Amino acid sequence: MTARIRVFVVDDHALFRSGVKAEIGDAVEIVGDVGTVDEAIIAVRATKPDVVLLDVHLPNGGGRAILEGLGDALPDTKCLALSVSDAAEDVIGVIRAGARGYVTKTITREELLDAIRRVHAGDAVFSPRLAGFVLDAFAGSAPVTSDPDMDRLTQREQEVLRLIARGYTYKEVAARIHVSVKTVETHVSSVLRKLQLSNRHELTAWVADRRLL
Amino acid sequence: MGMSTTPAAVRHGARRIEFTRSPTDRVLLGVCGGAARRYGVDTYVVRIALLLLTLTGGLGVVIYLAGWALSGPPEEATVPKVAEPGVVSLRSAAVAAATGGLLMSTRNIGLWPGDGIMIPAVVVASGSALLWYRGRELHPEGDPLERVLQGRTTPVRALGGVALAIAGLVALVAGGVHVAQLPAALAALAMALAGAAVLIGPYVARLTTQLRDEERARIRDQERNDMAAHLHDSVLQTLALMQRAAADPRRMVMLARRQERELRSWLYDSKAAAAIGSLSARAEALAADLELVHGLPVDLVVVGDDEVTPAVDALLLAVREATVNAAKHSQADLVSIYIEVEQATVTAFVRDKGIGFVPAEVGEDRRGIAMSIRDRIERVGGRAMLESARGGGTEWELVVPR
Repeated sequence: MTARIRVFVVDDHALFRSGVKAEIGDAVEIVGDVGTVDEAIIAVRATKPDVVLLDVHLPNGGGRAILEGLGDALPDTKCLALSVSDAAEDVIGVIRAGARGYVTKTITREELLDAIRRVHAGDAVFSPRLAGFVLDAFAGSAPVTSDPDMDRLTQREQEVLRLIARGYTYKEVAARIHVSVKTVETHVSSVLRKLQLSNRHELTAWVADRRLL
Repeated sequence: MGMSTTPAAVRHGARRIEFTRSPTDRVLLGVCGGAARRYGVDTYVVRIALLLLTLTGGLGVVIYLAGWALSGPPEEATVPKVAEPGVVSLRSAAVAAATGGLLMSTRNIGLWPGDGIMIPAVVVASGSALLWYRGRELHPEGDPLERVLQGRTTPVRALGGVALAIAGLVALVAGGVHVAQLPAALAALAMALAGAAVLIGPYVARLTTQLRDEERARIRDQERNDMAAHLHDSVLQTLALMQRAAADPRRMVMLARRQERELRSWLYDSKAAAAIGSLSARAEALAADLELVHGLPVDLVVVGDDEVTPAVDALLLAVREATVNAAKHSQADLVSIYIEVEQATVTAFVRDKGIGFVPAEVGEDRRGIAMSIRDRIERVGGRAMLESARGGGTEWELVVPR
């Protein structure tokens, strides 16, 4: 292996940050950790980490504000949203702002490390919950925009997302539908791209709808 | 809206209509009333004229029907819901006159198989009409004749109907039988009917009783199964948990309290409790509850949402049971529940990555799977599929119709 992955942790709970550091500090290099949006934007720009573990909920804007604050400054830094939040609109919001995946804080150490590696390698990381949110958001009627491919999930993508939502790992999904893990990763990355680029009316409406709840 | 002021001719476009039927001044369809209003004569003049034409050859019926076909529908007006007294009798008389006229004119024209058949047939038809007509709500102060003809005075009408039908049948069978022979014919018919009743009566009675008993037994059985399934899910589970928690009095008390609350709500307001909340809300509560009781993380994902119908309720209870099974037997450290609301169905997956089992090797005494999951799902018209292998985890797929 080459150098260890450099990870930055943003979370407003100091206890959680130290917990993460203790848990994965031996497998990756923790280059910093902060608890506020403003600190995070400055510190991440300065340290240029490989992966930022980003809390969805933070005072003054949350993970989305950090992603927007960073803009295109660090093309090689990938963000992984990490939250206990159940609010779909926050999760989708962070993904649409540029995060490469979403995992819940109940994730095991191995799974978290796996997710960090995956995001670092350029793949997307979908937890069961995120897969459910995406299926929900893309469910229903035909697309209305000029780019239908961007507004619709393929049969295969839906199948993959369903299996992930049912608790299958990428490897298990691959075995289940008789394709390689690489193919599963490709499908998930394609879904992520659609999620970020689609301006499908339903998606916007869905997010707005969820915000009301 | 202004609808009532719009002329019917305009509303109905190209078709030229001379008059519209009257919604209020009516005995049958309001044709006479409409025509009278249109031509400025008294309604009764029109009616009497038509009646005379009907009685003298049936032309009146033809004119009436033609008038109905050519006129426009009545303009919207408040037609009294409960028939006013008097109107019903009048209407009945008009129907009788029109029918009589129609019959007479067909007889005059020659489309008539003969009095010997037609007259008894008319009598039988009247009898069966009396028998089968169910009557309706009438004005409380309607006249007695109306009550017999159209109201809900069933015994009187039933007797009259039977009498008419039998008389008609007798006349039909007897054909040219003389009036003097009628009592004998009637007696013969009565004896034949009595004989038939004696022959098949007991059989019919036994069949009816048997069917009713079976239905009762079936309902009782289903209720017992429902109750057994519920007790298995709740009370038996709690008792098992309490045995394990014997060393921890506080946990025992908590379990007992919870069970008591749950059992009470099921016994005394199960329907009210089941109606609360949407599918997703119920599923969240279910997952939280299971995590608390069994101390095992439950990962829940719900796509779409629905009301909690009895089928969804059964699905959630089956999901609960499947999750409990996973918590107790699988040794997995996580249970994944996925519920998706589709167009016609609701599907749930309950998955663990535990030790798995071979379904065929599960004993008869393990009631959980058979009753709580499969039966429950099948009772609401769904299906339950189990996928498990030793060392390969377990996954339930449960589908119920929406």
